[in-house]
Amino acid sequence: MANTMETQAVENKKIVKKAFEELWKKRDIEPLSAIISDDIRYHAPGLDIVGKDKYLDYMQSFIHAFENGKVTIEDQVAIEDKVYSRYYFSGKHTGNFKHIPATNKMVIFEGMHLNLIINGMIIKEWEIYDELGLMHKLGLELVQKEHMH
Amino acid sequence: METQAAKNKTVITNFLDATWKKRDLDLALTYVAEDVSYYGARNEFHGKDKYADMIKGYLSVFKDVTITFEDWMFEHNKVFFRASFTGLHYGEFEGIPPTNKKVTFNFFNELEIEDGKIKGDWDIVDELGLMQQFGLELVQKEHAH
Repeated sequence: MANTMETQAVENKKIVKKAFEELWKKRDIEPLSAIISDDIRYHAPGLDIVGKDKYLDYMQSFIHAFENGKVTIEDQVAIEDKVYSRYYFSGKHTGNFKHIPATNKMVIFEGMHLNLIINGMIIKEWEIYDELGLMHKLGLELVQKEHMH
Repeated sequence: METQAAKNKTVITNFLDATWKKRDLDLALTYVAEDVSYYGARNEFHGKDKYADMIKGYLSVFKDVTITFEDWMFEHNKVFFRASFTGLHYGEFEGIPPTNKKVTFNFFNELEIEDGKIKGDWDIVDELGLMQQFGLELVQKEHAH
């Protein structure tokens, strides 16, 4: 039993690593698509996505925006059906991203995610990445919100 | 025999209690290795003194803090967790005056524990969400005139 669970954890680490690294190597959503459950739930600060189509659209928006984008998984731990991963992303901002036109800047940011995997399919994902750092690199700055007039 | 996971869990719980419940920096630092390394999203430093400065900094900004663990996982000498931080913003933070508001943000943390002390700390915080609660917003930077 213990061995089976360990094997499962090792397999799940590989699934996550392969899915996100290959997504960017091939710039193709298909390999990721094959392991995303139809009713996936994705949670990030200020963003909840339900369903495979919307999830893939979201991933696609990153692929469109960053040429030569690359995800590098730096560390992972896994037990049973859960995998934690720490990664960094690097890429050149060559397309519209969250209404920000291409800046042609190189960006690097860190992130972590937790994936829940059942029978080889990702059914839940929680993620936080350094969105503030990314936005700074894309030329945005924080200012005090103006009060309503 | 206590498992390594259970021991590490105690280290983290004690460290967070010392920091946020007792607000006792010296006690908190007994759970930190001399050669600790910290890797935040945009800053990185080494050594217990700098780590102490970081804790001091957070203590001066937030009080009445609750950390709620959503999930955690232990593997060998490592722990990953997903948690939320709630606290009262009572002190200046990077030039932002205290709002005296209760703020909540989510974060991920990876810790490496050696001999009962934190040796490595990787942190990803929803800093944008926190800044928005401080009353700030992201805008396109104006070009220099």
